[in-house]
Order: sequence, then C-alpha cells, then structure tokens
Amino acid sequence: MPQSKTMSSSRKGAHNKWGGMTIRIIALAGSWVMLVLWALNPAIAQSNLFDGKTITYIVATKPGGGYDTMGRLVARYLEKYLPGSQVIVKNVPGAGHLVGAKMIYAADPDGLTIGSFNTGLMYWQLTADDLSELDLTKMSWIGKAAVESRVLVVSAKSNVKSLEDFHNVDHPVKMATSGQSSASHQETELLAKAFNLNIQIITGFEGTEAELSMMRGEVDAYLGSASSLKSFVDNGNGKIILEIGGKPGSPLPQASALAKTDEAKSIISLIETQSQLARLTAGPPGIPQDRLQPLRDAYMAAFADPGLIAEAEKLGLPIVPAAGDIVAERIRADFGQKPEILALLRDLLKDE
Amino acid sequence: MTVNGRIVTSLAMVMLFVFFVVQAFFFRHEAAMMPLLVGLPGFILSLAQLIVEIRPHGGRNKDEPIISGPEGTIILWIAGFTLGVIAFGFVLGAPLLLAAYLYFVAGERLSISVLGGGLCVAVMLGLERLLHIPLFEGLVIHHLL
Amino acid sequence: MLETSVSSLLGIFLSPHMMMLMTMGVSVGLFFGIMPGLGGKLGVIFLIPFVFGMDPIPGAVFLLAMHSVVHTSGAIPSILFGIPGTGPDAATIVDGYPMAQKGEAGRALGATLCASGIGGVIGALFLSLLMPFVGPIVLAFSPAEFFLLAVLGITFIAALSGDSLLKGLIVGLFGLIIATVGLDPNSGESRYTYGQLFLWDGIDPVTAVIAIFAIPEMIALAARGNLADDDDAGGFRYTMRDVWEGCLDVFRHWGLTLRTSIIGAVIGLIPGLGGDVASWLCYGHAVQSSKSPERFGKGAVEGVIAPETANNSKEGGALLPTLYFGIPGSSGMAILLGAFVMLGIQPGPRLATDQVDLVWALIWTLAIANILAVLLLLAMAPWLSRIASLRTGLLVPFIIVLSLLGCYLGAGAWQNFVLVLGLGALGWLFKKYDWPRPPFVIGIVLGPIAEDSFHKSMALWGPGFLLRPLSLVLLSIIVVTIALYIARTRRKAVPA
Repeated sequence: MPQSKTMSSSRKGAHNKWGGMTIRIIALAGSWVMLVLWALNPAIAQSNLFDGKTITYIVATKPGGGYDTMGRLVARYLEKYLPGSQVIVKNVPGAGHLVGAKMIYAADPDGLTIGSFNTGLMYWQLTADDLSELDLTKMSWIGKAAVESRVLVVSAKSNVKSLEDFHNVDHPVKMATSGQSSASHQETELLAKAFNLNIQIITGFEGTEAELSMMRGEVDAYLGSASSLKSFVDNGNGKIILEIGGKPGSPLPQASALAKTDEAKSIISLIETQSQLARLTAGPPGIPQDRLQPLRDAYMAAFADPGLIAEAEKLGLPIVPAAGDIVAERIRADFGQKPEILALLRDLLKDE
Repeated sequence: MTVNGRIVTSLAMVMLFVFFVVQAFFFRHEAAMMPLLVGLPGFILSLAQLIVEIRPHGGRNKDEPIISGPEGTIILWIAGFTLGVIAFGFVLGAPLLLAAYLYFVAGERLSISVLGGGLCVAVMLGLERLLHIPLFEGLVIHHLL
Repeated sequence: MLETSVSSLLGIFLSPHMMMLMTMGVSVGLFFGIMPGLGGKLGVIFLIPFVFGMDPIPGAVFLLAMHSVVHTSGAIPSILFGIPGTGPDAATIVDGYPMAQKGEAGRALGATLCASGIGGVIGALFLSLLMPFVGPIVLAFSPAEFFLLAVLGITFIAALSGDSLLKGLIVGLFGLIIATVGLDPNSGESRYTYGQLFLWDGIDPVTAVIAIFAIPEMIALAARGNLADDDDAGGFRYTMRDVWEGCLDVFRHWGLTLRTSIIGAVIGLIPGLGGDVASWLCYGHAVQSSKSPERFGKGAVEGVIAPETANNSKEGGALLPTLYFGIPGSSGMAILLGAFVMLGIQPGPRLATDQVDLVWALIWTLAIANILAVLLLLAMAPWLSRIASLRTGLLVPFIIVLSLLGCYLGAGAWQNFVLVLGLGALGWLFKKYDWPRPPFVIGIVLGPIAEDSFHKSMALWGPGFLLRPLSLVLLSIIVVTIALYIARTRRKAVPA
C-alpha cells in the first residue's frame, strides 16, 4: 500500500491505524473518568472552617518508617474531626527532616499546611547560625503524639555490661550512631559528655544497621529510642543499661537520677525534652488562633478516638498525646534557658 | 554550529572532573578522600581521552554539526516540557504541552491532540485523587494561589 | 514440615477468597510496577488501609502478592520506552531497549516475563530452604564484606565498557564522584551542595538513570524518523510467537538463569545492599560469563534475563532477615514489615517454629504470585503490542511526561528537573559519541556503599579488615575477575 511520507498524510483519517471507533471509545472513557474524578471531589459546603478544604500534611521522611506511619494515621483521623476536610499526606524527605520542616515553616499560615518532623531538629537549632528559614520557637504547634524515651543498649556480645564498665575497660567503648549531623549522633556525644564516658563513635549506621552491628559484635553500644529497640532487647541481643526520659516508675536506671553535675543535668534535661515531645505536628508561624484552635482540638479528639488508639497499638506506636500549647511552652522553656547553659550546649554540639 | 562533538564531550568530562577535584580540596580530610580518589584518576583519564580525540585520525575527525535539525526540535521540546512542568506542574503544564506537541510537531489532528491532553489530565488526577499522591503543582501556580 | 507446607498450599489454592486476594494483589502490583516511579513502596502504602482489620495470613498474602511482582511489569517500560518502571529495572534497559529497537521487542518481553517468574519462584525456594540458617548468614556480612562486594561490582565497570575501556572507566568514575554529592554522613561535610537542600541526600539514582538513559533515547527516537509515519514504529510491533521465543531463551540459558536467581536472592538476603545492586551485579555477571561479551548493550537476551531474575528472586531473599530478625532487607521490606506488624505478625526467630503456616503461606504466595503475574502479562501482551506500535509522534510526548513524572515521584523535589536537563544533555552526548552509559549507574549505586563501608571498616578494624576470612574470599574473587578480564582482552587482541 503506497504511503506518502509527508507530514500532511497523517491529518487524513484514511491512514489512521487506530480507526475512528477506537478513538471514540478512548474519548468517551477519558471524559467519563474525568467526570467521575470530579464528582468524587468533596462537595463545597457552608459552615465549618475547613469544610471543603484540603489540608496538606507534610511528613519529612520518605514513605515507610515511624514518622510516615504516624503521620498517615494522624492525617486520617484529623480528617474525621475536621468535617468536610480532606487531609492528604505529602512526603518531603531530605537533609534529615530539614527540608520538610523548612517547607512547613515557609507555608502560608492559613492552617492548610501542617506536618511532622523529628524533634531532633532542636539540636540543629541550637547550633544553627541562620534561623530565618526555620525557627522552632516560632512555629504554631498543634500537638505531639508520643513519648520516646532513649535507652542506652549494650550488645550481648560485648564485654561492657554496665555504665561502670564504660570506665573500667581499657579501650574506648565503640558506639554506633547515624550520620554525623543526626540527632542520634548529637545525643550520643552529649551523653558521653554528661557522664564522662570514653567512647569511640562510629557513624553511618542508618535505621536497623546499628542493631545488626551489635549482633555481629562489632560495636558495643547504641543510644536509640526505646520503642525501636524493644524487639532487639526482647530477643536477647542486648541489655538496656540506662534510660533517658522514662515514665515515672520505670524499672530502668534513669539518667536524670544519675546526673551529678549541673552540666550533666542540663544535658539530660535537653534530651528528656526531646523524648517527651516525640512525633510533633506543627504549622508555620503565625497561624491565627481561630484556625489553630480547631486544629488543636481536632488533634486531641483524634487521639482520644478509640479507633486511632487501637490502630496505634496494633502498629506498635505508643501514644501519649499533648496539645500544641503544652508543646509550645516546653520548647520555649528549653530555648529560654539561661544563656550560659545554651552556650554550653552549643559548644558541646559544635565540638567535633 | 559546526564543532567536533567528540572533542566537546571529552572536554566536558575534563572540565567536570576539574571542578569536582578543585572543590574537594576545600573539604575536610575524610570528606575529601573519596572525591579525590575518584576524581584525580577521572581527570587524568579524561585528559587522555581528550588528547586521543584531538590527535588527527586520518579522516575520522570531521567537524560536523553537533545538533542536527530534527534533534534540535526534540531537544527544545524536552527542555520546553521540563520548564513547562516546573512552571505549571503536572496537572496543567504537562497535558497542555503534550497536546501542543501532538498537534504542532507530530502533526496529529486537533481532536487527537486534545484527547491526548485529556488522557494525561485523567492520569494525573487519578494519581492525585485516587492514589493520594500529591503532584508538583508548578512554581507559577504556586505563586498565584 | 511437609504436612504444613502442603496444607498451606492447599489452603491458598482451594480458597476462592485467598486466590481472589492474590489476584487483586498481583494486579495492583503490576500496575504500580509499570508506571515509572510508582513502585512497590507506594503500592504497599496504598494497600495498607485496605488490609487493616484483615486476619494476618490473608492480609500478608495480599500485600506480599502485590510487592513481589512489581519488578515483573517494571521491565515493560524499560524495554518498550527506555524508562525504568522501578529503579532495579534500569539494568534491563541496557539490552532490552536495543532489542526492541532491533525489532525483537516481543522476544525481550517474553524473556523478561519468564525470567521474572522463574526468578521469583527460585527466590521462594531459597526462602524456604534457608529459613533455618538465616541468622549466621546475615550476620556474616559486615561492613568489610560490603566494601569488597561494592569493589567487585565496581570492577564490572570494565566489563561493561564495551569497546572502549577508557571511556567506560571515565564514565564509571564520573558516576562514583556524582555519588559523593550530598551530606557525607561520616564527616558531616556538605559536598557539592552549594546551599541546595534538595542535594543534601545526594542525586537521586532514579532521576539520574532516567536522565542518562531515557532522555537520549527519546531524542534519538524522535529525531530518527518521521513522527507521522505509521510504518516507522514497525520495529516495536511483535507477535506472540516472538514472546514464546523469549520465554524459551530463558530455558536455553538455564545456567545463567539459575545463577543470577541465586545471586539475586543472596543479595536480597543481605540488608543494606538494595535492589539496584542485585540487578546490576547480575547484569555484570552475565557480561563477564558470556563467551561473546561484545553483544551486550546492543540487544543480547542474556542482558535481559540476568537482571530480571535477580529483581524477583531478591524478594525471597529479603524476606528472610525481615521475618527472622525484624530487620528489613530493603526499604520496601521496611514498609511491608510495618504492615505485617500492624496485622499482628511478630517477626523474630520464633516465627519459624510458632507460625510455620504463616511462613509457608508467604513462601507459596511468592511463588504463585510470580507465576500469576507472568500469566496475566502474557495474556495482556497483545494489547501492549498495540501500544508499542503506535506512531512515534504519539508516543514521544507521553514518554517525556512519564519520564518527568518518574523523576518527580522518585525524588520529590522539582529542582530535580534541572538535574534532568543537565544529565540528560550529558547522556545524549554519551550516546551520540559512543561513551558507554551503564558504568555510570554502577558508580552512582555502588559509590555510597563503598565509601560508607570503607569508613566503617577502617573505624572498626583498621586496615586489617581486609584479612578477615570472608574478606579474603571476596578479595580473591575480585582478583580472579580482573585476571579473567585481562586474559580475555589479550586473547582478542592477539589475532592481529
């Protein structure tokens, strides 16, 4: 069949391989799909402030993992308690939660952009020179979801069995941490300073790599969150020798009780704030009270919802919620400490 | 622009490695190790390749246009698509450009072009609404809202 | 044990409910695989709300069925369009796309489907056989071994350089140095980021692969023919006979198929290596072990079989540490693990003894899901052929949009598009002037692993880390690999 190979040939219907019929079917299907999608859109209505609005909940990590799971849980139940709204989760990973946090900070303060990030950014703020893009003391706090006490775990294979052993052995105790600028690294350094521990930090252990390394007997100890290390300890791979920020009545030795010097006490207090304010939800600075309060109320209602409590339990995420005003207070208190303490902490963290 | 494409490529590689190596000198020791370990041999090897290209090859090294006609068109369109999505996002920018390409470059009929654009919109909305994957909305749109 | 395994299999097969879940899971997985950038992780997240409230076994079966077939369909856009459906499917582009261009799209598809299916089944077998031995195997791989594995992979750069070793090395080194961009976890130094936060985590490999592979291919495709000409797309049309031919290829190369399935499963077993490593290492192995390596990169079917078996078998391997230790074998497994916990499954050594039925259900799911996926895709193959045979002009803009979408979904930051332009331009120059591109991906994928494990090894043991037993074994493999390569090139140069 002769084919004229010029451009104009395709404009004729004759050589159209797909034929008019197929095209029409696709057209129909396409427009139908679009109609359906449009119809699924929540109908715009009247009263409630967030009715018909879309709230973007930013999670400062990649999909999967604690922050993402909790964030999606929160998002779903917030939607329930802000009738008419739609809460979608947006993952903005990068730079150890900094990118996500900065994105929340830079958003319009209309209550339509909120999100979650690692409380560990407090350490970042202590040593940051430029707070124009992110200042935790100024954010509009909606609430926090959990308490994540820190535990110092020693490997079952290590010959370090207690805090005293740190001083007894003749070589630096090997401790694993995440990246150099991560919260895990900062806290390990701070802990070492607080208790005058002779340690050698080996960086670069992301996620569960530290646990594997302890199981292999390469590193002796690791400072991490209690919930993530629970199964490690339960399976007999390690022992907790110290806890920071534990619940009252916890059977584990508490760092706050063991801290002797003022310096040590400030350090432990800082880490304890971290652990008390786990799984934060915040919005950009300057959200007006008439929008912030409904968000806080919805947040607390969500966390009182038996459905959420049940789901959280199934997911192994213990919840100890508190509203935004409490969070704001605690953060202001920490950063409002006496300047000498802040300077001390800054030096400790900057000291490489 | 007639220039020898092979030389341009080798030169580009040399310059890239120079950049990486020079910058690495400003890093701390441990941070500079890998870039230097990789960058220095990279620089030497790409320099060698450049020399190989520059030497006369007996007829093989004809200067020829780097970008031929049809290539130029598609390159401009790819750049256009990219900038279009950066500016107007996936839900608006991509379908519009898609339809434009179909009509102006591929020479499809208007109905097909619009249909193509519509299909694109449907897919994007499907991802956003049904799968709850937020798509980039474009810088321009972001500033307008 | 045998009793439980059989009863568990029947439990799935004979239950319409389970088979329905399996089929739905597989369908969702195939969809998420075929759309560039979506992938298994997003698939699991999407399905989690649906499984909440299900019993553990059905829920786990559903999720695993979805997750294990993502790479089966992920190869389809790699072959037909040169865009990877998922990161690990990028290796399939190198020979799969040229096969399509040569008119062998059907054969490539058949090969990839069968390879994926067989790989998946072997992965399941691997899982079932190794369950009792998991602990010691996973623990045997320390940073020292990681480093040497990465170095071994890097030596493959030479093998993948095709005709020009010099250019290949340069490209490989370039990949390695691009991998250093970002915040160095070991020193805290920001390398080559210049205040751009989106670069802190490094250059996203999916973006890099799409830019270096897909964009130049698109330029070539669009520039080559008359966009309006129906005939011009003829090369991508295929028949079912071609597809069967591809399937048979997998059996013809049974040695390679078996080897790469096992290698893939082992790499999946080791937490921290990741899917890209499995497919590229196996691709490299295919090149190394071939009698005529010069065919690779131009449409050698082994170049499709090797990575595809590995892609699917690694899932079986990755389940081992995930179930046995609660330590995910990959980032996708991490999400799956979270979902399992939510369903009430407690990972740990006791799983193998207390919940044997669950473990067998998962093993069978892996096998059945993979077979089901292959059957479904084979049934859909004629339809795919229709799409592939569309006019170039119709396809090109969709491919461009899909590429951009894939980059965005992979990285999540619009600034990546600028990278796409830059790397795309470089990739196009590479393609035009015969610079081999696979070494770049090897560099960008293995670079971080090499550097990170080197630092850790030095910190843990000092330079003596090379003298550990397993390290010595790997070192000798590296030396032998290099020696073989040199011997082969000498042999080719001799007939003067």
